Amino acid sequence: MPITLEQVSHVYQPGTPYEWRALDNVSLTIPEGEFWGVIGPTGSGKSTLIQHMNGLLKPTSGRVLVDDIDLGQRGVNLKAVRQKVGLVFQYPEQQLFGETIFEDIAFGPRNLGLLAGEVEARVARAMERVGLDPSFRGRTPFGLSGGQARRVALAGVLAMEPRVLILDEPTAGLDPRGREEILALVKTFPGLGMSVVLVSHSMDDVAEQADQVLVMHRGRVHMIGTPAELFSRRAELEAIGLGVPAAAQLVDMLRERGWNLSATAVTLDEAVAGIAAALGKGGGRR
Amino acid sequence: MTLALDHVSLTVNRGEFVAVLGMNGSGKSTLARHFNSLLLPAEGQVLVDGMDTRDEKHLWSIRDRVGMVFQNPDNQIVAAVVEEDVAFGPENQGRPSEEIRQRVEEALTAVGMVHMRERAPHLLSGGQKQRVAIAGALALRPACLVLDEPTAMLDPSGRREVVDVVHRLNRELGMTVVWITHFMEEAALADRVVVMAGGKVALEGAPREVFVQSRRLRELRLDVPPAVAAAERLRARGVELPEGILTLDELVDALCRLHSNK
Ligand SMILES: Nc1ncnc2c1ncn2[C@@H]1O[C@H](COP(=O)(O)OP(=O)(O)OP(=O)(O)O)[C@@H](O)[C@H]1O
Ligand SMILES: Nc1ncnc2c1ncn2[C@@H]1O[C@H](COP(=O)(O)OP(=O)(O)OP(=O)(O)O)[C@@H](O)[C@H]1O
Ligand SMILES: [Mg+2]
Ligand SMILES: [Mg+2]
Repeated sequence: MPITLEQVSHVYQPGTPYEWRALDNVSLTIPEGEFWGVIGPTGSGKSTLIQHMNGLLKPTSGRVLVDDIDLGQRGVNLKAVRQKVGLVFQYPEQQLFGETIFEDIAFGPRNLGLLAGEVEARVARAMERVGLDPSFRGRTPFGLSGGQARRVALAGVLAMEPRVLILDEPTAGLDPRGREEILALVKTFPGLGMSVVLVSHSMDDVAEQADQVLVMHRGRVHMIGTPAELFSRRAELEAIGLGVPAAAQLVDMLRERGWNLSATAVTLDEAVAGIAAALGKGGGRR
Repeated sequence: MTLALDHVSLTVNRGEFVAVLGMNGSGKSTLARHFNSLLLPAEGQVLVDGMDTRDEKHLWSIRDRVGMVFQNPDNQIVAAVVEEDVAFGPENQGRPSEEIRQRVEEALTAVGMVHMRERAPHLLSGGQKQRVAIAGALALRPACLVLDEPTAMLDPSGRREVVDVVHRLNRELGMTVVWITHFMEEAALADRVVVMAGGKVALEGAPREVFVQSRRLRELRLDVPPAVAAAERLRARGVELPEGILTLDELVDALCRLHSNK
C-alpha cells in the first residue's frame, strides 16, 4: 500500500498570530513494504508530516494518496484508512484511555466489529509481540511507567493489523533492551508486507533498519537516501543539528586522524570490522 | 503488593552529578519524586539538606532547593506564552522583574529557544516543549536539579546542548544534578552512576566501575556506551586496547596509539 504526498504544505492556525508553515511543498512516495526512517531537527515537521499519511491532518495545499486514493476526495472513508495506516503517537500516554490495558488494546479491533474471540486473540498476540506480560491485562493504563505506556500504545495499533505502521519516536523512553526489542519487532514488518515509517531522533535507530532515510528540515525534504549514503555526510547533517550513528562517528573521527577506512559503516559491527582490518586483525570474521 | 521503591538508601552529595539508570518500571521516576516531596515514603525517611520531606513546614524550602524537569513536558506547561511559562517559577519566588527578565533570557538562550519566546507552548513540537520545560527549571536556579529523561525527545544537537548546559551549571555554580536517562553515553559523563532494578539500587559507582560490568548491565536490560561496546568487540578480535575506555574520544586516542605503533 504505497503512500504518496504531492506538493503538500501545511499551515497551522492560519490567519492567527500563531500561524506557522510546518510543511512546505513536500513531495514523496513510500513504496509498499519499504522501511523508511524519518529524521530531522526538533520542529522540522516530522510529526506534522506523518499525521498527513492517515488523514489526521489535512494539507493546506497539495494531495495525499494512500493506495492511490486521494484522501481529500469527498466520501473517502477515513476510518478505513486509519485502520490500514496505524499511527503510534510521540507521547503515547495521551493515546491511552481504557479502563484496563486489555480494554485499551481491544478498543480498535472491537470497533472493527470483530467477534469477541478474535478480539481476545488479537489482544493477546499484540501484547506478546510488544513484550507485555499477560499480568498487565487487568491493570489500569494510568500509572504505568513511561516505557510500559509506550508498549501498550503500540499493542493497540498492532491489534488493528494495519498495512502501514507509522511510529513517532517509538524508542524514546525505552530502556536499551526495550529499544532493541521494539526495533527487532518493527524490522520484521516489511517481511510481512507491511510498510514502516519510523520517526526518530536516534540516528542509530534508523541506521540498521531503514531502506531509505528522509531528512526533514524547516518543513521541507532536505535529503533522501540510504543510511550508508546519508551517514557518510556527517558535516551536512551536523550543520542542521543532526548527527550520525555512533559507529559512523567513530569511523569518521579515525578518518580525520588519517586512517584509511571506508566511510560507509553505519553499524558497530561494520565499523569494528573495518578498524580491525586496518590494524591487521582482519582475519576470521566474527 | 509490589513496592515501587524497596528499601532504598542513597545519598546525593552537594555539587555531585549523579546519573540514574534502570529498566522501564524500575522506580527511577518514583525515586525522583521523593526528592522534592511530590511523593512521600511509605517507610523510611528522605532528608533534603537535613529537612524531612514529610514535614509540611519544610515543603516550600525543599521545593525551592530541588527543581524538577518531568518525563513528559506536557505536564508542566503553565502559561500561554513561552517566556511567561519560563518566568512563572522566578515570579512565584517574588524575584525582582529585572532579574526575572535576565534569567528568562539566559534560560531560553541555554536551550536555543529565544526565537520562540512569543510562541504558545502547547502548540510546540515535542522537542520544543521539552526545551521550554528545561528552561523553566533552569530559570529557577535551584541548588539541586532533578531531570527525568530530559533528552528523550531532543535531536542530537539539542541533546548535546542540554547536556553541556547542565554540566556547566554543575561545574561553575556547583549545582547538584540528578540526571535520569536511558542513554548510557550520557551516564558516562556523570560523577557517579546509580542503577535501579525492581525498586532497589542494584549497582552504584563511578562510570568506569559500572560500565565494565557489561554482562550485569545487560541482565538488567541496560547496555554500555557505544565506545565501550566497540572496544569490547575490538578486543574480541585481538586488538589490544587498554581497559577503562568510556568515550569515543578515548577510544580514538587509544586506537591511534596502536595504529602508529604498528
Ligand atoms: N498546533 C500548532 N499550532 C501552531 N504551530 C504548530 C502546531 N503544531 C506544531 N506547530 C509547529 O510546527 C512545527 C513542526 O512541528 P512538528 O511537531 O511537526 O515538529 P517535529 O519535527 O515533529 O518536532 P519534534 O522533533 O520536536 O517532535 C514546529 O515549529 C511547531 O512549533
Ligand atoms: N501512580 C501509580 N500507580 C500505580 N503504580 C505506579 C504508579 N506510578 C508508577 N507505578 C509503578 O511503579 C513502578 C515504577 O514506576 P516508575 O515510573 O518509577 O518507573 P521508571 O523507572 O521511571 O520507568 P520508565 O523508565 O519507564 O520511566 C512501575 O511498575 C509502575 O508501573
Ligand atoms: Mg514530533
Ligand atoms: Mg520514568
